Amino acid sequence: MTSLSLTGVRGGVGVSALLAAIGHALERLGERVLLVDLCPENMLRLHFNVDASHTGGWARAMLEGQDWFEQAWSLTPTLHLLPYGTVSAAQSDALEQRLRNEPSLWARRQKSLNAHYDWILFDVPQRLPGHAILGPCLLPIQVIEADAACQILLHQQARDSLLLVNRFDPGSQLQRDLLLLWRNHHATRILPLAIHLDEAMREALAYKQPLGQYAPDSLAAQDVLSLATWCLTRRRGERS
Amino acid sequence: MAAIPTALQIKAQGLSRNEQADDIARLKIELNLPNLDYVDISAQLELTRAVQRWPFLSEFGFAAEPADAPPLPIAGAVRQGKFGTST
Repeated sequence: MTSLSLTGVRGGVGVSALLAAIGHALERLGERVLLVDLCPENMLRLHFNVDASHTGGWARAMLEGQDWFEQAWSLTPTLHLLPYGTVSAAQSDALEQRLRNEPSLWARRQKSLNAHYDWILFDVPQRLPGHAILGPCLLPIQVIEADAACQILLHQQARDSLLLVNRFDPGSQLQRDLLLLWRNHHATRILPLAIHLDEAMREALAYKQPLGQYAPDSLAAQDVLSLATWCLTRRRGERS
Repeated sequence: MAAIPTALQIKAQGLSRNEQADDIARLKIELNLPNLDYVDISAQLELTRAVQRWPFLSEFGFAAEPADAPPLPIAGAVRQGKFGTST
């Protein structure tokens, strides 16, 4: 079992849509995938046509003293989704404290899921450090857009996670320049491929489907498929 | 019918994937000059131009080369002063 996490360097860079698309692509490549939503906004489920009125999830189950692993949805036999659950702001704050006090929680859970999945993909919030504590994660990825705000934030932080450029528009001089500089300056961190700007990515959520299902021939879906293949290659490299 | 590999292709099998994709690395091997100090000037120039094009970069991670750098296409920094005074 291999873990991958996506988190935005700032808000609104399209993390949940990307995670849904990667999960779908990995499953298409024959992998057994579990998607875990660690964000209190509880949006990931909406990419898979889960009814908005459904309030269950691992966080809600923890708060109510129920079993977290019974909250997962089986979208296909090999693609499963564990929503966060609908909770109030006060409740997610309380949970944040609990997660900070128990930093080994997800490591234990990952271990218990080890035999059932090839991949566990985490949708990680930016500003809740307790929620972001995971067990071993081969591919911790920060999602960025090629804009000034992301460069400023990257410059201000001291992290060494991988970097993935989303919504790349090759027609923009600024974006081409930033990608060139990042490929030079963050050569060991930045992924060899970027996800192109594509309206299909936005439409996919409006259609409540992951990108690869909604628009399999779109440019972004092809990029995500390449990304999924790259993930498999990285895992193979780690094993050998 | 399969094509017979040429001499160059056979040699390429010994190279890493990066080297296969890197013309310069291949040239160094072909010329037996592994220590050749090659500088990709056009790539360097592109990087310099990219840094010069966007003023914010000088403050956030990409200080421009001080040597004969052309002035940035903006006016000097706004001076702090009391609102409504001429200073």
